Amino acid sequence: MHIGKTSIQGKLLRVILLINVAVLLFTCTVFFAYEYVTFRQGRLRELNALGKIIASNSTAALAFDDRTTAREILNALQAETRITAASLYDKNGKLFSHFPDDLAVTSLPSPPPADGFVFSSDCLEGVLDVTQGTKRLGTLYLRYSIQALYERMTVYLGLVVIMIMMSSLLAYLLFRRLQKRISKPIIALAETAHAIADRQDFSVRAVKESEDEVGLFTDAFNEMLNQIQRQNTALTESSDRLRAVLNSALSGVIVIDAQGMIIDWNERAEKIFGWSRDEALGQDLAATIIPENHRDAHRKGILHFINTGEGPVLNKLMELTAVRRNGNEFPVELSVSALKANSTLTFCGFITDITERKKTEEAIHTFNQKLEQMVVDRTSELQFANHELEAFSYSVSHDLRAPLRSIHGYVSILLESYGPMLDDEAHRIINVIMRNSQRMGQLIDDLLAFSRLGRKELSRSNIPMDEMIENVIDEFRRSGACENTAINIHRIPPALGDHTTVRQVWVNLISNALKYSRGKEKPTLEIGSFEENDVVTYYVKDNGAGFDMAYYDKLFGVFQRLHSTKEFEGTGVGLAMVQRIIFKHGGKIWAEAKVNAGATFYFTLTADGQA
Amino acid sequence: MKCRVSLLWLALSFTLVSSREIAQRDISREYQIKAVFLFNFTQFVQWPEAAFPTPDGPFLIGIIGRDPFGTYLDETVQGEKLGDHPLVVKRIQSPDDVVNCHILFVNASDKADVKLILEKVKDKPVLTVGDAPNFATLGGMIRFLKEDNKIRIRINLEATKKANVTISSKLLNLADIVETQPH
Repeated sequence: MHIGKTSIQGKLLRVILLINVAVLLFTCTVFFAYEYVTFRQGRLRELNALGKIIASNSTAALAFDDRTTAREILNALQAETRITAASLYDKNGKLFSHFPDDLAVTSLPSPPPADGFVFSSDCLEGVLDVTQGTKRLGTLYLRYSIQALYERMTVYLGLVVIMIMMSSLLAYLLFRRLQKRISKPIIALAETAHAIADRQDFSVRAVKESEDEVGLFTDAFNEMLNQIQRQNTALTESSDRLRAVLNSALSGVIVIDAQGMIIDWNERAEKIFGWSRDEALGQDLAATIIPENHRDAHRKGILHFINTGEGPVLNKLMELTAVRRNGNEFPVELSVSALKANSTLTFCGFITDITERKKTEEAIHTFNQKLEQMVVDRTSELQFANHELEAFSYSVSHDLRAPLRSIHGYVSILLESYGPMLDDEAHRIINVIMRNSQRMGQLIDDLLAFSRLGRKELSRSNIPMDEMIENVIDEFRRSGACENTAINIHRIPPALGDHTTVRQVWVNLISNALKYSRGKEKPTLEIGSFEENDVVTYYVKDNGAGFDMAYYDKLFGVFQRLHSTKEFEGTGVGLAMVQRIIFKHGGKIWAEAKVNAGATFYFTLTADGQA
Repeated sequence: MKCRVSLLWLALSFTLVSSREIAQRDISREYQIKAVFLFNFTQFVQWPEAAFPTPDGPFLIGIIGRDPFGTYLDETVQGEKLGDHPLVVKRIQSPDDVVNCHILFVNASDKADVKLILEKVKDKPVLTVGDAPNFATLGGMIRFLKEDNKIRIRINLEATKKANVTISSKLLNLADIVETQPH
């Protein structure tokens, strides 16, 4: 407190003394200058007057060559002690007489300088004309010592020094008496401020002692204290709230500074790591929670971020291993963000103990593996059963053909050998048998083809689909199946698939479309596609008989038909085969239709990667 | 023999000539100074207005008796003026002309001659100057006298006052003051 006191008083005193000295110096300088100039002017006037008198008195002596008189006249200058030399010259500039008598003639100018007055460092030299009437008779030279000026100035200087000392002393004494009025309230304020800074007690208020600027300052100071107090309260509340939020967080929140020292540690972190907040604060984070083999990486990471601003691990969820107080290592999920406030760098980490989650994940993983194994087992069982079934149906179908051929053969023989003996009814029956056996043969062939398809391995390659469709349509044209049909083919991209079976899909779908639109007046067929995310969807659309969407689920079943054989021939295997082929390609198939308003069949294949 | 005599004569005559020349030069120097003094008197002496018949009439410096100045005086006053009056040197032939002069240099050693001339200019504004031994005491106004090889001045103040010619105190300061004495 004492330092502050002398400081403000010292400053005031210094200012006052400085002003005092400055004013005095200025005044004295002006006075000096005035004195100097007037002194010089005065001496000049004196010397001029004296010179004029001497010159006037000397005229006759010069005119009549009377050196004695001249010397007498010059000797009169003895009365003026400051005249150190004088001399008279005749009109030719020759020295005529000089004063004092014992003066060395060589110290006098010869011939005399031009008329006028000249100040040199220690004397004033005057040169005057000696004229009687209008005739110039000679020249008078006078040398006047201005030592007196310097003596006088020295005396003045001494006076000034004494004056400055005296007035400074006076100013100091007056200041001692008067300064209290100014400095006391300021010192009181400073003491208040110091007390506040010392005790952090913002409830203290300064006492206003006057209505001047210091009083205003006191008011402003008190108002500032009010604001600080309010802000302090708000800050404390906000800080408490923040702490409460941090403590209620389910994650451990840890804040470290750029040196890796812990500067915040919430309750959850206490629980996770076993260190209390007070124990953790100020500790090196690496040594506290990071396993020994990861510490170097952590420290290098912080340095790298400070130096380059690159933080590849920042703002990301990471799973790491941490260590508890008891030395146990455990898995954590961690995200770190860098906070920059007022150029101070801190890192904030949110840490979740994922020991339990890891256990659960482990359990789920084991369970999934079991499940997968089960699926594999079941699938192989199912495949085995399926193969059995296919083998069975294949052998059954195959074995069915022999007796059927026998039935067909014998009926033919019957018709050839005994045809004429049989009546019309017998012929009709035989024809029914023939037709049904043929139909059964067809059914068996289709069934064989279908089951063969199940066993067949697909060989995938890029299929130029537009060419394939063109080729299929050509075949139908040649057989006259599409004489009246208007065929419209849009842009067809290629796709990946097994050449033979995909061709079968097109054959089946196009023949279906031709078949069911045959009865229409203007049958139309439209083939097109659209692509999305490497998947090409092809469609075949006709304006034929269509079907009732109520029976959609029967559409792709084997031997399932939505129309009678009389209306439209067929075995009911075509669409089943198509579905099977598309499924084997991993594609999808579906249809839309309305009775008597045509049907559209869609299927998808994987787009050719290079297309 | 005759030859030797003539040589001696020649040598003697040379000596005579040279000594006379030296004397002549001393005299010349003396009158040179006196010529300047005569001129300088115009600066230290005041004549009454009545001394000048016309405003630009000449200021006459008269020389009566033999002229000892040669050309010095003429050279000294050459082109000089006192006020509007040009300075003119005049050799006086007739004693009656002296009254027109402003300065009259009297070159006479005979007391009677001096007296006669002074009588002519008595009470007239004519500054009489001379170097006769008793010139001033006879009633002449300024006398030159030689003292320690220097020219000194002696003034008869009474005479100047009578003549209404005013002499500057500065000049009086240098001069001896004498009075007219009965002779």
